[in-house]
Amino acid sequence: MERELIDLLVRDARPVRPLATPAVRLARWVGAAALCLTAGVGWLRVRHDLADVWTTPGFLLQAALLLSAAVLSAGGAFVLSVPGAERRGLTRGLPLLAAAMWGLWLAAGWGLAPAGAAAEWPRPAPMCAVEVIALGLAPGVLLFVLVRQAAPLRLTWTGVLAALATGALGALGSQFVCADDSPAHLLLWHFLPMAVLATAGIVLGRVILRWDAKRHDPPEAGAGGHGG
Amino acid sequence: MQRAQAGDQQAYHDLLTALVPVVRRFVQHRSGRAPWADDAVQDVLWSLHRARHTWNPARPFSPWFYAVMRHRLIDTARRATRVSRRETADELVLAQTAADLPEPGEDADRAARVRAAVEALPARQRDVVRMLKLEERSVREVAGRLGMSESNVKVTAHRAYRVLRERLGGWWHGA
Repeated sequence: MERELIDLLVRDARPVRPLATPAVRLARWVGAAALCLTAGVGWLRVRHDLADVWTTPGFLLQAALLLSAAVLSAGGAFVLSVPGAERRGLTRGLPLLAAAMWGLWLAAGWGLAPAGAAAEWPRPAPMCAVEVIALGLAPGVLLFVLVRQAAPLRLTWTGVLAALATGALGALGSQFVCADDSPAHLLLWHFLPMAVLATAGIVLGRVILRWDAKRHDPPEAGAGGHGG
Repeated sequence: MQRAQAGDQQAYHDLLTALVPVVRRFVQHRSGRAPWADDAVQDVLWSLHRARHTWNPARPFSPWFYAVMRHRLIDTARRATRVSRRETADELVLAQTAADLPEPGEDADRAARVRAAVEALPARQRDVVRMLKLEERSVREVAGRLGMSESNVKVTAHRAYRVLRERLGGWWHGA
């Protein structure tokens, strides 16, 4: 039975160019993502007070955490897309840690806010959630496409990391667009959409990243061809 | 593997041939003599084929190979469990259907539809369904008579049930 299959596979085999390393693919994606993000932020218009806030510690810390989460997540997805390339669980853990740190920082900021302010819920701002998703969409789609070109074996984890990269990038971009820096607002309308997107990656990974779904059924023994 | 990536068919053939016993030992070691072991070996070969562009010649072959093999074996085992549950359901439906078949003089059209659907199956599937269900032979007997492995008989039967389910539509489920 295997002899027939091997003959079929050999006949089907064309020369292939080995994929570039995960590091190279990540670098290419970061370049493309930076362009997409810049274009998206420019289209949505930069916040009016950016010149005043971009050097503040809070802004820089959040930007660093989000950039770390985005790059580490995307890098993790590229590593997981190559069988046998993942060496340590940190590949999956570090991106989640970076994202969680941002969430914890925001939650702490909300909790430490002055007595009256802490009790107030942030004003509804669904457009911020839309902006987070919209800004991350193009680089996110590109990331899923690039990852699927490889052979991810852990579809759930790869999907989560790719989706987290999408959300983190979108949240990073929205920092340059949205002028509301209150922790409560950011937690609800920036962090939460990112977290929801990452969770959706569980399903997205299983649906979008399955690279062997169209394999032919093996020939039935003695039949010399495909069944059904 | 590097030559295979470059398009050397002989090298690729030699590689796959050399890997088959390794894969088979790996599968048998982890699955015992599960009936789906043959399927698992084929699944692994298919996956190696489709993923061959992801191996980096600068890195060792074994981690890549074992990663593909390990995960494909897990997938095959899970699929076999799902198929086994569906086959059990299919067999129950078939048994129920056989019990519900009209007595002579009742709705002969339904019986004729079932027989026609079975006759319309591809030859191998028709033989398997006929021997399993109409002649009530065991899987082992059917495998021996048709020169197939037992796992292949089950896979063939499952495909036949799926085709019959589609052709007989709502009636198949007692609608």
